[in-house]
Amino acid sequence: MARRMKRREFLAESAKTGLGLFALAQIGGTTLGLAQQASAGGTERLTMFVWSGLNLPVVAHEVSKFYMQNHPGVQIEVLEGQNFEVYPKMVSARKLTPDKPLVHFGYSNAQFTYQGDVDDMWETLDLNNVPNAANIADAYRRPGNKGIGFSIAPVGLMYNPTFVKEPPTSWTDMWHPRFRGKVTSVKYAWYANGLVVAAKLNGGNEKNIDPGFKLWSERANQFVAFANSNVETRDLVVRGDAWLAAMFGGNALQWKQDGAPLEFVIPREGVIAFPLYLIVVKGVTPQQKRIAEDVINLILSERWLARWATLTFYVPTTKKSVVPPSLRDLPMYSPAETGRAIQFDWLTIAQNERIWRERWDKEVVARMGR
Amino acid sequence: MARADVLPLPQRRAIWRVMARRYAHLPLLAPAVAVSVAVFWACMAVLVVMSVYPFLAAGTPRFTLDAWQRFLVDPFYWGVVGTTLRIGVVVTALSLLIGYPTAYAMSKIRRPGWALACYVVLFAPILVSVVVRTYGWLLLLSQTGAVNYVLRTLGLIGQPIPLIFNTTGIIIAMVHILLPFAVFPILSVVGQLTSDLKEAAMDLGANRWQTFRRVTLPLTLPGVVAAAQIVFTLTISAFVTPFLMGGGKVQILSGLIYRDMEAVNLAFASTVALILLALAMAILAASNVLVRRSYSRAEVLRT
Repeated sequence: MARRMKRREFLAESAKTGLGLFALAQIGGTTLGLAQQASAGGTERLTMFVWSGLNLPVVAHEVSKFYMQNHPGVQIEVLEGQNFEVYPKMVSARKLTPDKPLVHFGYSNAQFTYQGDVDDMWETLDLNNVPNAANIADAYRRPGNKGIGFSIAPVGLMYNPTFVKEPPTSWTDMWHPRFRGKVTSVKYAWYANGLVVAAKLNGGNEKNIDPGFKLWSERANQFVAFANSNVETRDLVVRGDAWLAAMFGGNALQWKQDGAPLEFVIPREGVIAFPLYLIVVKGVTPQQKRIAEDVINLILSERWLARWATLTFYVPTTKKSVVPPSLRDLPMYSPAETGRAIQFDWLTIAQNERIWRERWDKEVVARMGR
Repeated sequence: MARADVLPLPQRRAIWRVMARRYAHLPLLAPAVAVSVAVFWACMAVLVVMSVYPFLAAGTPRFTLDAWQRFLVDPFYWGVVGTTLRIGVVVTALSLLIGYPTAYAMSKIRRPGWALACYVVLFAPILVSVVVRTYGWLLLLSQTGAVNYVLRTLGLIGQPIPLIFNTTGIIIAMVHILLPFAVFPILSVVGQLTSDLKEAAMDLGANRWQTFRRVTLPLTLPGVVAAAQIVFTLTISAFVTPFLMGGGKVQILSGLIYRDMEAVNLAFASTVALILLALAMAILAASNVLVRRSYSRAEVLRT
């Protein structure tokens, strides 16, 4: 039978509920804090960042599991996400709690690796602790050993063959009238939205980007829409809202394998080389840094790089090929193709990131039809 | 020696009792106030600090109003403010136009089963993620989507109509997503209306329109205002739906915040966030003042 609660009882119950919620919040806070604690109860805890989606996180999980099995005192938590969403949090953590980084080490793409240089985010690797770094091509060593390049994600052109009967052949097809209103890209992804490549093919470069902005401000209506992620880009092309997009070859091939109506071509000017790095974040303890270097050394081993290539279709940056025979016939993996890949000046791009984003909005997006 | 200003014990006890009764509700407010202060106002304070002390890779952050100046003197950003407000106003107006008759009709349903069905149809979408609902609209309205397919099959159009990646798409999806937030406040007021006043108005010669305009609408105005305020504030601060439906082409304030958060341009992102908050608060305050004035004027006319 229902009974009316007295005010005093109600207040007492409210106070208990409040205390309960406070206790829960404390437990939650403690749990979250564990990931950031340097050590607790003799266990060294680290957080490793890796990209989510497709097979990208598989090697990170396998290597960390392997390492933990052989080092019972180490706990590695793998944090999956995208650089663009996690990096700002890493910077904030460095600002607010410099000795407790949100992420201790992990994977970073070229754009954010160089942004990290600008923001002074990375530790110097001691290559004595990373002997497998000797197998990495010199071009993918970093100034001051602030991380190391382990792979490139070649960027080419992805299109929907249902709508595109004559495949694109050149980067210039991105601004060719036959694809007017049918191009898409992640909005500020300079490796994919055509800005830098347009500048390079029209007499400019990263330090003289104006030819790229000029071309795109005049051809803004080439774009049907912008995406916020690679998956969203894929969906736009699969639906037929867009027909053409610059995309990582690895992603396009995996989606094609899964049955998506997509094709991938290498433009005649070559793929854009998008290097991928392994970095250690400033603020780690010497012991954590040593563990991170151990794990990075494992990732750079032939065994795990071959596994990475098999799973992702991305190209390892080793001096001698570790690509399994099943992939060697793919054009992306030919040394000639890798050798002629278009290289971007990522440091200049990182230094101009904020200005270019504003200019892209004002000079290109603002000129697109509504 | 007893002081002259100290009251006798019984009187003091009486005052304590009165005070205790008067402020007994305050502990009930405490959790809401604590959450509001901790989560909202503390964050706002952090945003203010971040907007004037930008993060620097090296060295001590210094005070600067650069981000504020950049926003306030640039016509481009005022254009973005205009677009944001325009979408907010249109979505609010359409939500009210659709929501008011819906709420009115729902209040008239007497059969519990029908009423329940209406509630389910109207409010069930809230249970689904906004991303899923927006993707649903993308599939329906895209060039190869169901709407364009039907229109082309019927021969009504030759070429697909661009219904997404523009302001139209944003407005359609936002109205659908926010309609329950418009209906519910109106429904709660309309449901309390009795027929006495309407009958009196009609007895005095008012037709249906005059009865609605002079009696029903003023009585339900608090619900309409509440609905408008909720829909408007949710619209101007929305990000996912405008980005997906606008295809990143329609530039709004929340998009600017996202852009600069990604680029770790925290000072500018914080500035835009605070301007968005100030706009919402100013418009809510203005609408409250206008409603109060209209009620005052109505009181004057009645006397």
